[in-house]
Formats: sequence, C-alpha cells, structure tokens
Amino acid sequence: MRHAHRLDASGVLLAITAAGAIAACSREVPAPRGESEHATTATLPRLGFEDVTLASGIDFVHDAGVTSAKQLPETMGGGIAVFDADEDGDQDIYFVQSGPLPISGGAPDRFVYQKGLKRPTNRLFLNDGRAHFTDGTASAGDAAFSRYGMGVAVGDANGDGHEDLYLSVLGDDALLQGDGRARFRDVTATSGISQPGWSTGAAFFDADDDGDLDLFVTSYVVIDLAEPPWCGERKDGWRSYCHPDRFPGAEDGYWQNRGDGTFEDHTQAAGFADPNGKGLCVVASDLDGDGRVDLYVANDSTENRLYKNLGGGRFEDATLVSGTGVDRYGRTEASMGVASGDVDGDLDLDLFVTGFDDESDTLYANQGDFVFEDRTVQAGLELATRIPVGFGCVLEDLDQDGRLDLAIANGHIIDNIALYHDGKTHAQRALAFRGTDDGRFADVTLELAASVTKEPYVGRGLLAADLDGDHRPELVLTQCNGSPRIFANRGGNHGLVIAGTPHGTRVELVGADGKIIGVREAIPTPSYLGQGPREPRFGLATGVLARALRVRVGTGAWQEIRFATPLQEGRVRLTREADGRFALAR
Amino acid sequence: MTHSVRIPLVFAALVLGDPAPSSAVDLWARGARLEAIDAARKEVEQDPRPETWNRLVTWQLAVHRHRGALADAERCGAPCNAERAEALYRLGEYERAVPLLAERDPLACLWKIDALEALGRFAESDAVLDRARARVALDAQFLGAEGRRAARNGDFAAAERAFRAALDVDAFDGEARFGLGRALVGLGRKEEGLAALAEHRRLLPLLDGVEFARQSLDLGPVHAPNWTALGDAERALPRLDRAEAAYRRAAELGRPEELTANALRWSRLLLEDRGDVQAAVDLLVRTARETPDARLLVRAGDVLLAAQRPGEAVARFTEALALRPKDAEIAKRLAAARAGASR
Repeated sequence: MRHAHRLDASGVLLAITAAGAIAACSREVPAPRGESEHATTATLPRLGFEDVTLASGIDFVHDAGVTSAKQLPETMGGGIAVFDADEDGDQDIYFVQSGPLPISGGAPDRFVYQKGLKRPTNRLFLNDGRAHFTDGTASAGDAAFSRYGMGVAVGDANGDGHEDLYLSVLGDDALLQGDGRARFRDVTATSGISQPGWSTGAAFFDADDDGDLDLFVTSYVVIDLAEPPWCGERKDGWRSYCHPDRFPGAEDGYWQNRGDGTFEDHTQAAGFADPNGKGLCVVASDLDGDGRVDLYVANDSTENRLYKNLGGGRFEDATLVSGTGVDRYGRTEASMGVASGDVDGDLDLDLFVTGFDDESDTLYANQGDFVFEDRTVQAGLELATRIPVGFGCVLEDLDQDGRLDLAIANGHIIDNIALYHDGKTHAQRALAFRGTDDGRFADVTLELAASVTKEPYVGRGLLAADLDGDHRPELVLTQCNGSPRIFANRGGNHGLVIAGTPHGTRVELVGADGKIIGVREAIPTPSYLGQGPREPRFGLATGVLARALRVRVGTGAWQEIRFATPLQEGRVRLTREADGRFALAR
Repeated sequence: MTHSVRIPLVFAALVLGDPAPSSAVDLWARGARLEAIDAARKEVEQDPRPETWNRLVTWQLAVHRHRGALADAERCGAPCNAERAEALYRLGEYERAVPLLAERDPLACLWKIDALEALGRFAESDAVLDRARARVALDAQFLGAEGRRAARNGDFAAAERAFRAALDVDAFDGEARFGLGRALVGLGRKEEGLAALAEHRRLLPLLDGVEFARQSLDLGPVHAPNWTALGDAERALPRLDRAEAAYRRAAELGRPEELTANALRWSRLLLEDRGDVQAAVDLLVRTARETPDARLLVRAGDVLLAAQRPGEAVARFTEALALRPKDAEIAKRLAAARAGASR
C-alpha cells in the first residue's frame, strides 16, 4: 500500500495563481519534450488516493430498474458530468439516473413513459470547493430530469456564457439550458433537436469553426422492450443480458448549431454514415492538429469510426486508413469508453478505448496523417485489461509527474456471469497504470489497493476532476445500479490548471527551456456516458517549470502567453480581450 | 487472444470419445453439461484414472469452468498439464501458463505466442513463432502472427508477404486482410491498402456473424438451431464447406421440428451456391421422410419445376398436398406442374 495522506495544500497553491506578461505570438513549433523534462524513476511522485465518498455528502444511488426480463438498458447506465454548474469556481457533479424502464411504444425504439408514475431523477450535487457536496437538485429546475437516463454532455449551446446539458436517454433526449446558477430549463421543444431511440454518448464541439457548439450523439441499438429476447440458458436464474449482436444498430446524430442554441439535423449532410453502428461513446479531439475537432466513436461490437473534420461542417470517414476501427487482429471490439491524450509525449493525441472481456482495451498511438497503430501490447496494457470488462477511462496525469496515467473502471454487463464463467465476476476492480517513458505504462493497480482498486465495482463512468481545489485530480467512479465512489487524490505533485479557455482551445505548455512539454485540449473528456471538466490541467515533474502557454482556438493563430515567473503548479486564468487575444487574468 | 483459437476446443470437447459407456458421457452427449460434469466428478472419485480426470477437466474447460478446471487439473497432475495450461491461459495467468503450453500442439503454441506478446516478452514470442513456422509451413494463423510481428517491427514488406500468404491459405482470414491493408498503407501504397481495408470492412459483419453463431454454439453445442445459424453465417461469407458441415451437424442433432428449417437453408446452399439441383431435392425429400412437413416437399417441387422437371415436381406437390389437403397454394402449384408435365 502506498496510500498517502497529505493534507490539502490548495491555499498555498492558489497564491501562486500568477499574473504574467503576454509574450509575442510564435508559430515556431518547438521540438517534443525531452527526457530532461521527465521525472526520473527515483523522483517519481507517489500515487495515492483516499475513498472520501462518505465525507463527500454524495448519497446518489443509480437505479437501473432491473427486471427479470434482462432488458439490455438495465446494464448500461451510469452517466455523470463534472462541471461548474453554479460558476463558483469549483467542480460540481451531476449524476444521471435511470429508474424503472419505460414501456414499449408498440414498436422497436419507441418508448412510453407512464404519466403519473413517480420516477427517480438525475441529481446535481454542488461543491463547496473542498469536495463537500450538498444536493442542489431541488433548486436545479429541469435538471431533476426523470426519464431513463444514459449519458450527459456539457457545453454552452446557446453562447450565453453558461454551461448547458444534453441528456441522452431511452426515448427523446433533452437539452437543458443552464443559467450559471445551477438552474436548468428544458428547452428541447424549441431546440430543433429530436433524438428518439436509445442514445448514449454525446459531445458538444465546434464542428464548423463558427464559434458555436454543435452536437454529436451516439445511438446504440434498436430494441423493443415488449419483446426482450431470451439469452443464455433457459433455466431459472440463468437468463442473461443479450449480446448487442441480437439487436440492429442505430444511426448516430449530428446536430448543427444555428448560432442561437437551436439545432438542425446535419447527420447526412456532414458526411456521417454508420447506420449499423452501435455507438456508446464519442470523443471530440483534434487528432491531426489542424485546428479542427475530429470525432472518434466507440461502437460496441461494430467497427469504431474516426471522422476527420474537413472544415465547414463536413466530415470524412477516416476509419480505414487510420486503423482505429478494429484491433490489431482486425476484429471489431466491444468498445465502451474512450479517452484521448498524448500518452507518448510526441505532442499529438492518442486514443484509448475500453472493451469487453477476453479482448484487451486498446491504445491507438497517433502516428500522424491520421494513421494510428494499435500499441496496446507495447504499452504494457494488454495483460491487465484482457479479463475485465472496461467502461470509463481517463488519461490524466494522476501523480502530476508530466506523463499521462490511466485509470479504468471495470464491471461486467452480465450480472450472473459467474454462472457461465467461474473465473469472472459482475463487479470488478478498477485498474490503474502509471505512464512511463515512450508511451509505456506500468500497472500500479496494487499501489492503489487501499482506495481506487480496493473494492470490486460494477464500474461504468470514471472521471478525473479536481474537486477539492488542490490542483490534483480526484477520481469519480459511477456504478450501474449502485453508488458512486469519490477518491481524493492524496499523492503526487500539484498540477497547473488553465482556466478560462474556450471550448475546443488547444493548449500547449512551454517549459523553461522553450520546449513544449505537454498538450491538452479544452474539451470535456467523455470517458463513458459522461463529461469531465473542460479546463486543461498539466502535471509537471518535480523541479520542472513552465514559462509560457501556447493557445489556439479552432483554426485561429497560435498565441504564446508568457508567465511573469515560471510556474510548476497553481491555477492560471485566461481572459479574452476584445480583439480575441488571450491575456492572463490579473 | 484471437477468436479463431477459442472455438475448436468446444468441438473437441464435443467429440471427446470415451470407449467406456458411462452416464457422464451420455449426459454430455445430450447437452446436460453441468450434470455430466457432476457425474464425471463422481467417476473420478471412484476411478481416478488419467482418462477420467482428463474428461472432467476438459469438460469444465468447455463450459468455462476455468477455475474449477484448473483446480482439478492440478489434482490430476502431469496427465492434465495441457488442460492446466489452457485453464491458466483462459484465466489470464500467462506467467504460469507459458511454461506449460506445449509448442507441438498448434493451438497451444498460438496461445503461447499470444501470452508472451501480452507479457511483453517479444523475444521469446518471436522464438516460439520461428520454431512453429519451421514446423507448420502453411497455416493462416501462424502466418498472421508472423505478419503481425513484422508490422510491429516496422517491416511492412515482410508483413505484406506474410499476410498475403495467410490469405492464400484462407481468403476470409480477417486478421490477414486487415494486416495486409495496414502493411500496404505503411509501405506508402495507400490506394492498394485502402482497397484491402475496404474489403476487410465488407467482411467484418460477416465474420462477426460467424463469431456470434459460434458463441451461441459455445453455450448450446447440441442445440441444432445453433448449428443451422452457424451454417447460415458461414454461407454468407461464403465458406460453403464449413456451412455445409454445420448444416449436416444440425441435421444429426435436430429434433423433428428443427429439421425443416435446417434442410430448407441447406438446400438453398446446394442449389444456389453449388448448382446441384439433385442434391438439393434429395436432401429435401430425405428430410421430409424423417419429418413429414409439406414445406419441404413444396420446396422440392419448386426446385424441380424451375429445373424444367415438371413430372418429378408433380410427385412432390402431390405428396405435399397429401400432408395439407386444403392448401390452395399447393394445389395451384400442383396444377401448374401437371400443366408443364403434359406439354
């Protein structure tokens, strides 16, 4: 056990939030970070988390509405968003509830919610800045949403400066407009969005570089709740959740913002075409560094899809050339969650996808020009990820040593899996990996055996977010049909958080020697059915300092912003001047 | 772990012969697999020969009782080393599995290569692969492993050669098709690579269909419709010999009410893919003798009519009408056949 119990030092760190001078823009692309910027093994900060669920005040329990009919939605839920709902500078948590299943609307993909039936609602928990939460649902208006929920996306859809929520559900999805005071209003009816069926993941992103946020929604499969097929042995207690191959796939949706927070269906016009896909998650990320945000869709048992953003709201299916549709054996994967991040320090963004048991999760290393290579084995991620069923995943510098680490929430979808495989379980332990050099990972699951990986969970969502203001990312793990867990980060260094970056901003951190030492995007991380904070966060190895930031919004020009004094940790806030240029907040 | 190396074990377990009649074997043959395992355990207690141990362990592996299989294989000792190795491999305990996986067994050898790769022990996995390639010249899976290794090492020309060789052995090898496309892209021959990848994309749902059918079989290996579904999936690829073997197995296992659907599908293969009218008709008629079902005879009549053999069609429709005397549609077809026969 390497569990650390360092106390919160946020008071000290906040004082470092520094004013600085704006330096001239530089288009020179410095070389990738060198070994000198990394911590050596001897100086590695230690990983350490503490389960603070009880103390957090969060008492949400996900209700999957489990029935004896083994309806597939019962085993998929557990969405979560971590964002600043009341704009008080800390991260609040919004849990997506499911509850009793709706009834069949008489045809596949039609769902009816019985009027008058009291249903459990989604819940919003407001943070006091120290990871203590109070239930703000009662005053959150329509955020107390009660259809059978799956996932949530966060973004300022109408450009009013406040975060809005998109809720994917069984049935008609919803768009909730936020007012920045943790209150939300359902504006679906006037939004132009009509996304029925079973939608799952969603992402706001500026697809056409016009300054507003468009929306992509993944759809899973077409089911008829009136006729659930029987899967598994026909014996008492042996009925099992069906493989998604038993159901037809459903087409994802792309909704283009008209500029006023209302949307038009541009799925076909934009070039998205995967009518048979079984999407569970989407990550928006500029994978070729051209300033346009691309999309990667994780499909369950059908080919994943990578869409290259061509600009102007047009996309090209780049899956084939990229090699990201299948694993290195050329097999489709049961892809669940997804994360993007620069795992090998070459300043482009790689992809990590979680999958089913008897197939590993997959790391696709970005080789440039939209070509990726499955480097799961070389990265040391094959062995540990083969047996569990992976869902949420975060690529985050958990120990703040300058390299991205990886955490994965696991849990089988089949609650009676032990009947079928005596070596498998429904609840499964999470996994943790420490990033080492050259895109490799070391399995540190045992190092976190007192906290994150201690108990087996029916893990679904997993997000990293600084909940207690010490600039170290906590982990929030959700369970399907169970309680979430909050793990406070008690180890490692303290990171450098960049606030005030508009959605989609690409941020590079410049080291003291002028080399770029990290790249991030101000895009909420999806993990599985969720959205993490948008603020880019960097970890820096002990003794490593950053002297400047380079930022770019969309296809705009890069701008370098120099700190007054080199920083290793703290919180930097950017403001935008009238001419669109960034400045450090004073 | 590749899908293709997972399934044969099920079939192997199915046909695991035991010369001595036993209730355990009978139960197993009937598909009462858990009960068969209980009976096999009793047999082991009474008669702990290697054969009985081996059967108990093998059966447990077949129903994914990997932990149970491992425990019993360890009690069994050396005679069950192969099964112990498999159990360890299935449980992801590769460090322990590797020394026990026998390279002379092609399947175990593939597992060993896979386990060593997963452990990051590439030099050892390469050595095992080299030894295997020296023994097994033309095997799509070993060739695929060779291509994968070459690609991992950045030698795309060697990868192309290996994957092409694998495709020569099995044109429907998904790994080889995908690997070839990736190798060509790696070689800068993007258009060629994309063509191979597009073909792989076309095949993917069909290969997944086969895999899904195999998973169903894994759960219910004596359930005839599962074999019929496998036949359908193999036919869609098309791998006709495998499809026909699956339909044949379904016919062997099927209950009367399951035979018709299987025969109708199988006859389509014989007719549409093999162009063998007589074989299709013989199958339909033979099945109708086992399970009197007018649909089989109507289909036989239709086939014969389309083949300009109305006289024989009359006989089949007549038999069908005897089974369903009030069926106007059959009567109509019979009349048409008679009209053709009289011309």
